[in-house]
Amino acid sequence: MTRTNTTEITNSLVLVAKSANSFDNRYVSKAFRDLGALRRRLTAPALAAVVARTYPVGATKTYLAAVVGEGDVDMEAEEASEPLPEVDAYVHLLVQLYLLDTGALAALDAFNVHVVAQLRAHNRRTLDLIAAKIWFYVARTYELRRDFVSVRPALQTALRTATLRHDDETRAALITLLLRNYLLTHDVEQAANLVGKLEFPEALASNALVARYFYYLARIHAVQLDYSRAHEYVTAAMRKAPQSVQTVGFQQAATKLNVVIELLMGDIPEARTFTADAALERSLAPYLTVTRAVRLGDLQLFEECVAQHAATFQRDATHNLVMRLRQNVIKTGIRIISLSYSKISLRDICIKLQLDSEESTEYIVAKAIRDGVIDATIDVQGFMASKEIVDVYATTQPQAAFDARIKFCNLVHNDMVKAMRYPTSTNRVDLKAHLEASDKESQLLKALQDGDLDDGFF
Amino acid sequence: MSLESLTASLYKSYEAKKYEEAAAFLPAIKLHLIKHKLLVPLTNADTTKNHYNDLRISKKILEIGAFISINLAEFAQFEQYFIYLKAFYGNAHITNMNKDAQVGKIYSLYLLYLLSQGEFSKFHSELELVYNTWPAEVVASDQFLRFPTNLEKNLMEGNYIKIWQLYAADERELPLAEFKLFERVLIDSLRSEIATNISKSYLSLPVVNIKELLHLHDFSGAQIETKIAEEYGWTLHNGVVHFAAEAEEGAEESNHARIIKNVLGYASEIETIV
Repeated sequence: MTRTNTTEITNSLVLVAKSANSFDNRYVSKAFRDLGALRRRLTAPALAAVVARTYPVGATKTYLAAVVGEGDVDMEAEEASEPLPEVDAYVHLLVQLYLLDTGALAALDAFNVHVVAQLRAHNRRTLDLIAAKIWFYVARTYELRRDFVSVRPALQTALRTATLRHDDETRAALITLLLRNYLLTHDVEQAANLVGKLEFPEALASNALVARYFYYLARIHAVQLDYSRAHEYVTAAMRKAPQSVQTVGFQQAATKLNVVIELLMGDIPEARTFTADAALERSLAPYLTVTRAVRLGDLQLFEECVAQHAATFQRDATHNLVMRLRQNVIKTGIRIISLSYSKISLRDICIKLQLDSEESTEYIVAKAIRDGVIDATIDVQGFMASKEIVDVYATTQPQAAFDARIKFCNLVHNDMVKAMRYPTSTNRVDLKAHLEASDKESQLLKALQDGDLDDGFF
Repeated sequence: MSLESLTASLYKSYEAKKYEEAAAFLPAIKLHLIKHKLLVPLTNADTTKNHYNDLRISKKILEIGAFISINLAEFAQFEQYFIYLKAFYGNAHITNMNKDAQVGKIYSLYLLYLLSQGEFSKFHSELELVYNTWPAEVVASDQFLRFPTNLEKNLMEGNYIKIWQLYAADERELPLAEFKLFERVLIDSLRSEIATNISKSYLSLPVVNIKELLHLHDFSGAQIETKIAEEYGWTLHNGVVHFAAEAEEGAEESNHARIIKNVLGYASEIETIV
């Protein structure tokens, strides 16, 4: 067991070293792809063996061995030379993971200080991917210890350093971590300030980070009542996120937010949203009942449902957003009435929607007309008369929708063109070598397709 | 003057409701607070009990400062005080959310201020913070906080009757006397809101009904007529206001231009692809 474990780790280290020597970060990504599986099987003896083999005798070796807790590592086993900084960082990352998974938070906290100091010493672009991951676990440690505030200065300083070094992966990781930190303490104002002052390296960061960033943006905009932008971001987040078993948590969170935002915009999400994915179905159940209430325009049902699922909404941090739906319930109620009656007295509307009084009905209906929820007029005698429903196809609406789709397709196409990689021309000389390389390349690409959102974030 | 004597005079004039006199002490007190590192609550594990007590006093001073600036209608200053205070409220060692009634007062005033400025997105950001960081039972039972949140809810729903009722109540029935200070601004913006709604939803409406809907009970007939003509730009005929249907001409013209622009855009995109 220990032996295979050690071999696996060594294999990853070889990949990491290769990427450092060839200046190609994709090999690190490959190593990260196996990290999820490897993480579940990490053991102290395996780690100790790797440490013993990788490091020459010295302070670092002694320290790491002490942290792993296997003091009796054969210190003189092999004469290793000083490892590459990348390999060094990767081993540190593994130790971090081991400590995190065994729940040794205090030890991890102390270890983090050591890791961060180690990271600061090097300025190499091949370190970026590993550094980003390490920072993630540093922030995660603080989060697990329910200490949100004291990590902020460290993250901010690191962000500055990363920006100055053009270390885009770490920069993107740190921005998402800061946003996550602010949103966990519900400090939306602060998060919005951060977004307003920063430029996120969207084209250069990995997909998983971009998806996360978009998700946080969506949450900020939703709180700030900018629903259409929020909707754009949350759909982008859902599209960017890898669709695998490990990302179910993220998909759940994003879908929940999407449902609430769509409802707030006055749309009703498709029924398919709730049933399409078995993994999401159960967690979306409360949102399904809310959607039903909004669709029926039934205030009473809505209140009941919110009261019943309050705890769930609180946990999902969507409670305040859901509370805002009350006005949408009323509006849908008015819309349904307006569609089914060509003329109806305000009094009847008041009774049907269980509003407080006729006067308030008058105000509410007037507001609905102004907000464009219904197309109607009120007359002096206290009747609401709906205008004839116009044929949508006679308006410019279909054209606008078609235009929006064409623009989106063009955008996708242009992004794809930008994202393409071209082989360097020197490789063309030796055709055989090239073929071999491309074979390896395609294997590597295949391995990368699934992405790496696998770190148990949600 | 020392900090102690300054603070004592501040308390004295504040309690006598001599706000302008009290405001004069504030800049000097603030300077002292900065000197003693009490304006921003930077605490850690080593902070002594005495220092915490001092911080609590400076919190009290800032709260008084906030109340004074509200009463003097110095809203920019009030916002400043609120930002200072937020740091104090975020520190559990200084502020006990369960017992401190001042927190609810200051927060509700700030929320009301944001509403009166039409800053809805800021309002909701603050609300998000309040609802999620304070103990739930405190938020639910806080009579001060309920005022701005109810106001916003009714405003969004269009249930304006409730808002008239909130303010029509006697001054003494308001949870906090300072709420009255926002009445003017809020009612004015409410009226213009309702006026827009009316003009969109009625073809014509007698002045009597308009008076009712806009709650213009305190105005005479002539005053209302000038208000209608000048503020909202409506025309009056035999005691009935006719709302002109909004002209939608010109939309047709720009539509053609838009189609041409779009199609040209597609053409150039296809060019790059092919």
